[in-house]
Amino acid sequence: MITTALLNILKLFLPSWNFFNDFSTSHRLDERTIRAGHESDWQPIREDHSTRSIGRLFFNSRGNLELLENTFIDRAAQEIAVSSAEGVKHFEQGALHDSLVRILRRRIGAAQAGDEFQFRLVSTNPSELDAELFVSSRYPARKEIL
Amino acid sequence: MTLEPAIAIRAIQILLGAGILLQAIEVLATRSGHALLCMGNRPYSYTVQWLTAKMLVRLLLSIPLIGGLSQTLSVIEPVFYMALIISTGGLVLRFDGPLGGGSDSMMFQALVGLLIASFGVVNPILTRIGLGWIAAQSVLSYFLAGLAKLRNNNWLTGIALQTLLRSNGP
Repeated sequence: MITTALLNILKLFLPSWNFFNDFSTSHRLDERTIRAGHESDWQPIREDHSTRSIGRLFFNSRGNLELLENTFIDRAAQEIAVSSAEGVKHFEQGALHDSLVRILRRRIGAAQAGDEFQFRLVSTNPSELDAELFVSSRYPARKEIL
Repeated sequence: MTLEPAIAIRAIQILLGAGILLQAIEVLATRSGHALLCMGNRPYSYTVQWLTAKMLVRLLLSIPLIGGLSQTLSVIEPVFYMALIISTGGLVLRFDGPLGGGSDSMMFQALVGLLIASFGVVNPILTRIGLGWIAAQSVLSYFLAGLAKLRNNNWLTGIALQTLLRSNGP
């Protein structure tokens, strides 16, 4: 944990500026809800913003939050891509996984009591078929956050 | 044409102050969503309060930066920059990485440069080193991103552009 913190501080002082090195693959988070035992089809998580406007060039709080969430999704995909089976188990118990569950709960929105959801991480590349990287366990769709 | 260091510093202060102000307002507007990402094992309500307090402090610190720090707070200028640097570092650590990508990295570099430049009263060369640091990081950010596009086949064939246009973005 301390090593990660020190690495993040070092990255702050010496940024690599190489975030556009490889932009051939993007990652998508799909979700499906389970209601009374019936699974819905996988569908990409909805985006909150549906319109574009000039004003968003200057003030775009929801769009920037979604970009940050997408950063978490990309980071999770990278963590899984380089992990062994043991690493994936470690990922499932980690803070990044918990953040994804919370992102999903926020984006799924209204749900009935007893509903569950499941998510999967998909790698997409224009020249290849989509690849499923990770399928989660089932989680309650509604949970009080204290 | 050469730019007077004092004018350059003032311009950077205004741009940086405006960036910090806008970011603080944006995060405050969506603090509940941001808190979900950075709460870790801490209680949600505590994280929302922590984030709100942090952003309000940054918002307040951005005002003298825009209004004219060197006229009002010149004696404690380095302390002022240090407060913003520590605040930025705290946010980055809490989010386990840069908060919003390249813009936050550049904000941090500008703060470090201004901190170094603020010691120009001790030795004027420090003003030039501070401004040089900001200039070098600005040039590097564009140069290295451009170099990556030249070296990566996916950028040359257009695949990366397709991915970029298909990805989720505001």
